[in-house]
Amino acid sequence: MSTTRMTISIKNLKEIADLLNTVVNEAKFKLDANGLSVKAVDPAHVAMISIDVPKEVFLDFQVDGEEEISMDIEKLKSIIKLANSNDTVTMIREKEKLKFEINNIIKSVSLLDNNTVFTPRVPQISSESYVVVAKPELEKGLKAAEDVSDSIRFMLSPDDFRARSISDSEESELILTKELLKEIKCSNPVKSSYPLEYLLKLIKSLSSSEDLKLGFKDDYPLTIEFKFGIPRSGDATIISGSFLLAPRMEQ
Amino acid sequence: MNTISEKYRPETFDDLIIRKDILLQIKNWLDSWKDGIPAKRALLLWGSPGTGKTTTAITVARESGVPIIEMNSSDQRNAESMKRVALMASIYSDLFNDHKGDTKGFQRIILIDEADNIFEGRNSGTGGDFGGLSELSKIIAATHNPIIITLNDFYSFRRKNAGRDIINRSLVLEFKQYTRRGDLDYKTFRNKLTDRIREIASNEHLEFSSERIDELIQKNGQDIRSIINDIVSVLPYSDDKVLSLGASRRDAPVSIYNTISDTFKDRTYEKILIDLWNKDFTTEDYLMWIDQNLPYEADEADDLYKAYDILSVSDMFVGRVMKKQHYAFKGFAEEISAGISSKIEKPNKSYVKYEFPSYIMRMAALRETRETRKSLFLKLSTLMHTGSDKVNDNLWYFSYMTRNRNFLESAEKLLMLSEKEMAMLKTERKLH
Repeated sequence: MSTTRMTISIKNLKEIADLLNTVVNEAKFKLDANGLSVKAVDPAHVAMISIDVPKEVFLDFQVDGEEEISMDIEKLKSIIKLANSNDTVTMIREKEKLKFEINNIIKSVSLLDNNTVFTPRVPQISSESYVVVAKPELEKGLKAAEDVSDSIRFMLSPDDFRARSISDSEESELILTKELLKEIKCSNPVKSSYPLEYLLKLIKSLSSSEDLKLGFKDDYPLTIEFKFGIPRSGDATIISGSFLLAPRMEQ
Repeated sequence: MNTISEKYRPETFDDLIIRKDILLQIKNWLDSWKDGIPAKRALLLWGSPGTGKTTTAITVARESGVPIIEMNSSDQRNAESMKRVALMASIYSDLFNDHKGDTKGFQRIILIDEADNIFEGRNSGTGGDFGGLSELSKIIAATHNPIIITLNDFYSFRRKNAGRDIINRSLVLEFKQYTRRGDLDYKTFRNKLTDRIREIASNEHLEFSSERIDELIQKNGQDIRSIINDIVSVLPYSDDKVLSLGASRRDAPVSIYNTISDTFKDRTYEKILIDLWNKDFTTEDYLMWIDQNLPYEADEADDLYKAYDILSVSDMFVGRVMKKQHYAFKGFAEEISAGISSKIEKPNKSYVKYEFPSYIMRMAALRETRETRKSLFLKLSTLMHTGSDKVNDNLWYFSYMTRNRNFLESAEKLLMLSEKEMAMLKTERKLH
């Protein structure tokens, strides 16, 4: 059996770790001939993330058959901190350990038991209405809502997209008219509220992403699809991910 | 948790071994969610270990066809993690619930298991589960999903401020299979249990005679989990089909309630001693509990006089044992007080709700005053270059001085007195 060996840019690995960390502390990575994929759900079943890293994103990717690797995300992040942002990292599986090679540093950490880390099945979520917004625009709207309330209401009509937050004393609203949106598909107005904290964490972790596709309908889970990652020179293949958020229960 | 009792966890309400009236109340409460959020948004199940509290909570989720979010004693349960898990679960829907036609009125069940093991500590610095219970209380007030809380020790839970809030906001049910041996509930319990034991035994390829089953039930009382564990603990010996349960005696810790109840009601000296051997509390606790509850058990003044005499002897004994540090001799004090009921000629025959010793509660309340006094004395003695005993003697003088506005202001600034220390300094003069 040949060894599992992957090399990836530290920027990409950091972004993956940050994204997972918005939802969980431990994750199980699945490796196969296509690349690496990972899914995780928070303990309250409110937020789920799934990330697919095609093998072309890796500078070197040697995996035989299928394999699972479970890791503590905090630990992964602490290793990433040892590197400079332009470095690459090589990970080599050695039995129950994973060896990281960053420049002149070699660090080996033990892996978690695959049976103790839960991989969720992805629920069937589909909405006809969606909108594509520029990340900085949405980010401003979320920041405006911070401190106002714990949740934010997304409203989509054929003419605009709004994100509103209301408390007894304060109110904030982001209004993006059709012209300011990259894409919109909506025949009937829809609205639903989502936990602000997770949205803020997601946006903060998505450093290299430009556009976000938000799909939802009335009181229904929100799907956020995004692409991120630094492509290898001349190669356009990048990482895709999706984030699911449960709606607030309305009375 | 225990894997073997989990393996035989019931799947439906019908499989549950709990009293019919309790099950009915739970079902009614669940049904009430269909018509909107009920007044009591939480269900608090309490009772001794192994009576089916957690099992019932899990079965409720299963029968309702919704996911269950559990926070048990192996999770951290401070304010922050309560917010991250229970709060989120209480107002948002569940990703794993198919979002078609929600007829139940809720999306998931939130289970806070063994809530009496949420150890709050006095501040966030001491770590633990600081703020966990108060956060839980807030979550219950606003939840859109049913919350089920389980705990063993209801009475000490009630003494915590947040615990009391939680109780007020919950439908409280005591888990008990029967009140006394021989009543109707006891017979139903026994029959159901016997069937279940047979079923599990045959599943594990074991054979139990009726006498063995009787012995199992006798030994474990209402603790079904222990019964299942006992059945399985004979597995290694399953080669010989004649199973000796004697090999699997397991001591269950006895709670203070049971011991006090045996001391006053059962009055069998040997039984009380066995309770005391298996106790999970200290000799001092035992004496204080007797002290608190003795007046309810002995109506006659003469009985009370004699009984307290016994108690005082054993208290003296404990005092000497502690002084000499011969802790092993504490057993004698227990044995003396265990016989206390022999001096009660006319015992109270009716049910007594045993109370937690008020002495301990008073001491806890006084602790704050004592600490304020200590820090005030320390500040004054540093300023006056004297010992704190001297400060104590002269406190009346400092108090008197506080009538002077200038002194008061400079003292406050110089000593950085807290509000409580200030109040103590000002009121002390009343004594003189």
